Amino acid sequence: MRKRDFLRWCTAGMAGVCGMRPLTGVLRPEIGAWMNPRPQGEDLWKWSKEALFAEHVGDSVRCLKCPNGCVIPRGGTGLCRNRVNVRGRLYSIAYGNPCAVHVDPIEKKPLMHFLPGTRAFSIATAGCNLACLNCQNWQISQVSPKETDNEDLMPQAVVDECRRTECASIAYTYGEPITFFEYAYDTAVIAHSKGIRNVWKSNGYIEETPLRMLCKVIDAANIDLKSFDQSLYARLNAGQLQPVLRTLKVFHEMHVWLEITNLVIPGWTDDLDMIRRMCAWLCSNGLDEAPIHFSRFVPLYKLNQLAPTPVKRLEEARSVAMKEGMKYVYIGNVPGHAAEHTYCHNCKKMIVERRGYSIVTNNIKKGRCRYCSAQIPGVWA
Amino acid sequence: METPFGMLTATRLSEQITLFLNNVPVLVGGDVQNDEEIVHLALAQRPAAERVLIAGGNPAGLVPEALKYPGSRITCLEENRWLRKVQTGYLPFPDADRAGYIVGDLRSHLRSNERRYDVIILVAPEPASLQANRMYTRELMELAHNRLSRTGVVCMALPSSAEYAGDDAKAVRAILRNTLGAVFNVVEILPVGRDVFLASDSSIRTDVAAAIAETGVQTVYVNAGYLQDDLVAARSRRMVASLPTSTPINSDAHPVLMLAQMSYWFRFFAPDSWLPALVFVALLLVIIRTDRISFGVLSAGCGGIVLELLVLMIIQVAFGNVYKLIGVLIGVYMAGMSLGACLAGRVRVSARMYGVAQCGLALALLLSPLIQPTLSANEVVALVFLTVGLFLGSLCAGAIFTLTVRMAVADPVSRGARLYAVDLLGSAIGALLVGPLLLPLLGIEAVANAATCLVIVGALVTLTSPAWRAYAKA
Repeated sequence: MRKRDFLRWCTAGMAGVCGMRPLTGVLRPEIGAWMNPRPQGEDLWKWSKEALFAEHVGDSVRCLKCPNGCVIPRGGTGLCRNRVNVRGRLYSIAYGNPCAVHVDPIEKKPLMHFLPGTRAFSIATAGCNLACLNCQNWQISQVSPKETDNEDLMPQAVVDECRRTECASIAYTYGEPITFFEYAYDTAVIAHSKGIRNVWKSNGYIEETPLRMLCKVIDAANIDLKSFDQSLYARLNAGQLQPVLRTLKVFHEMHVWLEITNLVIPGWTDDLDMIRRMCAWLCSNGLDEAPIHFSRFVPLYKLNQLAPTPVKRLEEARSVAMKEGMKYVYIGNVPGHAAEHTYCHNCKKMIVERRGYSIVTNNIKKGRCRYCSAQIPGVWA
Repeated sequence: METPFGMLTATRLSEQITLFLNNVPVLVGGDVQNDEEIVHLALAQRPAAERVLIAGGNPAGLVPEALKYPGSRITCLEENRWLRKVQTGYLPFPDADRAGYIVGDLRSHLRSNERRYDVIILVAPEPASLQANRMYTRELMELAHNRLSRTGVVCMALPSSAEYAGDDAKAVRAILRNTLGAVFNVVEILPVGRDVFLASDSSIRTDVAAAIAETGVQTVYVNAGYLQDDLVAARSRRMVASLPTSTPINSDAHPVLMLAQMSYWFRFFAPDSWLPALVFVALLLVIIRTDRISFGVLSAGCGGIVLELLVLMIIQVAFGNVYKLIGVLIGVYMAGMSLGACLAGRVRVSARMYGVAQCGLALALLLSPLIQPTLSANEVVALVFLTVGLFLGSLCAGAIFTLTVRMAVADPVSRGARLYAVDLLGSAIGALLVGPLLLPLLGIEAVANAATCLVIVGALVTLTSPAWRAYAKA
């Protein structure tokens, strides 16, 4: 190599290093990850617990918690980002490390027929077993717990905090509690023993065995029934419809108080015929008394180019649902709408008047309509 | 409708009117939640406000809310006159004695208007572009501060960070909080439907539901039914505690908020980081393989386009848009290149002439950021200087190309083609790197200085090459 070529290469190298400095500020996390890849499961951190529901497949492990059925090789991670295979065993890395901890009115979940007027101590870790295009909590659902700032809150501490904040229930919510199943379950067991209720806000994408185990400690659930079409479930949510329908039936069978949320997205899930078929299915499977919430879509995440749902469309969906036989149909995310009150399915009178998440008047006495004495389904105390 | 600000579309879905700008919804009719939030969280702070300025947003929704406070005179300002025209057709403004509507640049309005406001509400899109970023800079906040009464309040909002803000979302909020904090004594963030920022030199109430209740104003959403003050306060404390305390301040010359917002947007798609690294390595290889003569042309091509981008950005920041002047500026740039190339064909080719051309371009780059502060003082004079500087810089860039081609006496045809390609490559590199990345990352001054260094290095590399020495001997 000639001296001049050597000097030219050195100058270019120095220019490259200087030029990289501002870029590394932007790319540092990725470069750091590339140069020092995360252990990917070979090292467990404090917030780990051996996972329930797994089977060995050679050196790999198949997770049996949800229909994704991830086969995780040694050192690998599941789709939900919360399951890791360490030396041939499956562990959860979302145990005692919630990234979101808040107190919410129970009506925000939304749960309108479960302990109205109370507050829920709400927790979530990162991770999710679906990938919805419109995810409101994508910053926690589409990442691993190792990428979020977490609190150190083991199950007993969750219960202690719930009591300190005088909440009537603990809600496993925001992200997807199926992905932190062991943490939620252990917390629910302790809470249950202390008389604190447990609320499950979920996409319902779970296998039957863990679900039945969960039902023994969960008191109420709100399940997102995102659509009633398999291909939509695949395109919009990267999931499947049938497991969610099974979840609804199991909750009903196990007498867990159930409410259902359906997000009406323009151009995606706002087809009234599909809504009609969905409600027909719910009624034919004994779920006509499960309150259903038609929620207004707002532009978010990867669907931020769509307009919000017109209120009239939500009203049409409500009308369709009630015609099919659903007894309690609410409209969510539309402040001040009349459909946020509760009306007796029998005499049609307003029995719970709400203003947002607050109860203005409550005409349910001992679980019955004050006007016609009809039994109003729900958990009122 | 095609407008200089982008494609404007109005749609009706059932009863709902939505206005889209470049396929993103910007205004939704009947959006009670958003309209109430931004107005009442601000006006509940100063219910006796006499003068209120609302910049941006949907007056059809915002003005009726503001009019609930008796005694307030509302001024609605919109910068995009085409948007205002479409709004008038689809979302008509309430006809009220206490409300007035004007079209114009917010900064010009704040500079020229002597009267003071009690509340200024800024409704802006996310700071994902230089134009939008103008609504979030220290310079604008200082202007607003100067036009506020002693207890005046500024209110603006970002989309909700929901239950958890990731690092990028935190960076955006921290930069905005610190930018407001650099101007105002008190800054509060209220994570309600959106993340609402309130700033004032006087106190700010965070118990907004109670504050609104005290005013007696009737609202559908912003009340104790939906906003429970203790829970909002807890979320606010949690969010503020999680934000980094030390961040750069967002300014016109250094739009760091725009970069943070772009980084946040990229998270949606989690792009592979190997791609920008690969592009950078590819560019480096191209530069390394360029011979010394061509390197001077490449650096001049890069410097020329950077000069144009800097001038465009300075004008964008000062006036809010460039659509009126972009044709003139591009024409001036091309005219300069053309004249420079032509003149360089008539002079004797020498190292001195080449050096002068490169230095001329470097000087134009170095001086361009200095014009920016004078734009607010005297627009016409500053614009003239900018245009002349752009012309002279591009003249030098054009001259460099011709001088270099003429020097290649051995093989002028293929050398000319190669140099043309290298010149364009330099322009492409400058445009790709500087616009979306280096300008928001480093700011105007640093980019100008870096481009100046590049041009000078290019000149030195060329002038010390054996080819120049051989030409000089010949």
